[in-house]
Amino acid sequence: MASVKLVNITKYYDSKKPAVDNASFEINDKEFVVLVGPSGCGKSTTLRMIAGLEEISSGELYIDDRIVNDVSPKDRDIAMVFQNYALYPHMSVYENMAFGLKLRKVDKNEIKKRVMDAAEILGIVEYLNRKPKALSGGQRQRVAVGRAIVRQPKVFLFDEPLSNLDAKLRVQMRTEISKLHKRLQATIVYVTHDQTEAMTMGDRIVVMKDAIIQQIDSPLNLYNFPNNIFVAGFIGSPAMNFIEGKITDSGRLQFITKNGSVTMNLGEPLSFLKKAAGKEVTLGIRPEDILCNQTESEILQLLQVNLDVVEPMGNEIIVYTTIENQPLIARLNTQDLPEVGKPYNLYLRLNKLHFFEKATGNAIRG
Amino acid sequence: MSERLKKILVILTATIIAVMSLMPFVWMVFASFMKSGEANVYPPKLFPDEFVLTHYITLFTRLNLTGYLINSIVISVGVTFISLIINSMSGYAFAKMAFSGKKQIFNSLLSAMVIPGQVTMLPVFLMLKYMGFINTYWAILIPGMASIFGIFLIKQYALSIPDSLIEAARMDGGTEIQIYWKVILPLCKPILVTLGIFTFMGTWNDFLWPLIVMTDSSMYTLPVALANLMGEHTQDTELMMAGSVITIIPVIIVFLALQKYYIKGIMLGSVKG
Repeated sequence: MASVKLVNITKYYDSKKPAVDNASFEINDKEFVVLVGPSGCGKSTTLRMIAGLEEISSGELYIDDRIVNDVSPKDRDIAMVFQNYALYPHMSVYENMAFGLKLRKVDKNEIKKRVMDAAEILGIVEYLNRKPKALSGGQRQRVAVGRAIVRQPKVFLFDEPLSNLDAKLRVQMRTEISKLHKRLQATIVYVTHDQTEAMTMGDRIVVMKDAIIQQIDSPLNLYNFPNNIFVAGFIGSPAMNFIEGKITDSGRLQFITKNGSVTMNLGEPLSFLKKAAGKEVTLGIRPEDILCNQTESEILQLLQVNLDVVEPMGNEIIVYTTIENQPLIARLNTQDLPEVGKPYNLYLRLNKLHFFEKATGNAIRG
Repeated sequence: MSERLKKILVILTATIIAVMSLMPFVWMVFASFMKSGEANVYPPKLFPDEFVLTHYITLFTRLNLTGYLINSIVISVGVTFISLIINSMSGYAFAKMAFSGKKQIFNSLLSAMVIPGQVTMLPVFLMLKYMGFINTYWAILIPGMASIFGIFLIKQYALSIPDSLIEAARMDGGTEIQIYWKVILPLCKPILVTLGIFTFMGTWNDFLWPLIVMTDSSMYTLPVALANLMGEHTQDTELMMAGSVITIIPVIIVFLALQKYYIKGIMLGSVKG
């Protein structure tokens, strides 16, 4: 049983602007929580405060209901995997993994048993006598993970562990870490800037931007119900399309784009937008919620466009166009290749539209 | 063809220079085995007619060279090890630890480097005199315990060690001393060896400072003793050469044994940037 709780954690370096501003969330036992955000958003600083490598300026940090603000890293019973592996270059793989246990004066046979077990799980038994420099990037990353595993800590911290690996290896290690999480039943806090990693690995995701937590939720909830325009644009690839405009309610509830070139009738499912009537809003629609054919079952909004670029992917076609100079990307589930430059009909799923207040960026919901 | 000629010329020039610079040393060794007076004949000889050990025996029996040798070894080894430990600790601290006034302290140390050693000789001598360390090993050990150059060298090297390595060790449960001893020191080995050789050779060959602080002849180091010998036995070239051989041998052994690291250490600054 190991949980981590952050209560109003704030971190100031020397400047007046905090690196982490009032972060509060809880990581439950055996949970895989991912901190995600663009670089400089404070996600790594948050992780390093949990690790004890950075002092906490204000707020409380609990591990298993014990305040650990002033507990040194070695006494917090946590292990960390670093982005650049941070293996000791002068020690063999075995010594690297055993180092932490040796410092803690664990019995020699026990050390051997634990290192061998971890090496077996990670498939690095044959490299135990090698020095890190004789290993490939993927193998080094495994050793770094192994060094954390042998300690049997309460909490594992991962700081962008896959960003130094090539694309193929990254996908492979991603699944391996997920498997490892299931196998070890471990509590894991994982930092990444890659939203795909966050979506595929996390039980819950903490999205951060400019030192502030934007939203904490499960991957699918983040995807379907983003709290604000930042989360909406950050999660998902290709990113959500945004069109600026205004809500009007003169008998009919309508969305009119900024320059007035497109008017959409907002039907029954969007009647909650009445409260936003007269306000400037940003409409958001995911590329996969734009169709190329009409269907009976859904309420759609026709959009006539000229396509700029057409990218056939095989299973789908990605088309690029613009609406009032704002880019619009659609993923079309079709095999008929549209022609570039000719008028083309796109249909937006009305019930999949997202609306955000222009002033605050916050989502408008029913 | 001209490429080859060039190569031959280069090798030839290098050989001539090597022979010219090595000749005095070779002659020194051979002369030390000559009978008295044989080194001063005309035309000069390179090889002795007969190898004799008389001068070495004289040195170690009548002239108490053993005592000077011990003095030199104790002082040089002592200074080397103590200064390596202190320099590496402070170099590491300057490179990786956060403490207030770090930059200012380091800058003031660096600016102190421009003060020539001769200027500080007298004050340091007086200080040691009041402390009562004149004519003891401490008179050389204490001033040699740390050097700004050594601290600077190790600091620059330690900067290249990634912070995450130290953080990993901290997470692994290492105390600051353990991190220094088990992670930092092994990683600094090349620079430690280089600095160690510099320090050892510098201390071993140092003449002026031991001459100033060691007024009692039993505390002389080899270079001082040798110079003293020169005064008494100017005519005895063979004896002088034997003394020189004894003086130079330890330095050569140390250098040859560690030259692999030494060159690596010199290269470090330029290659790693």
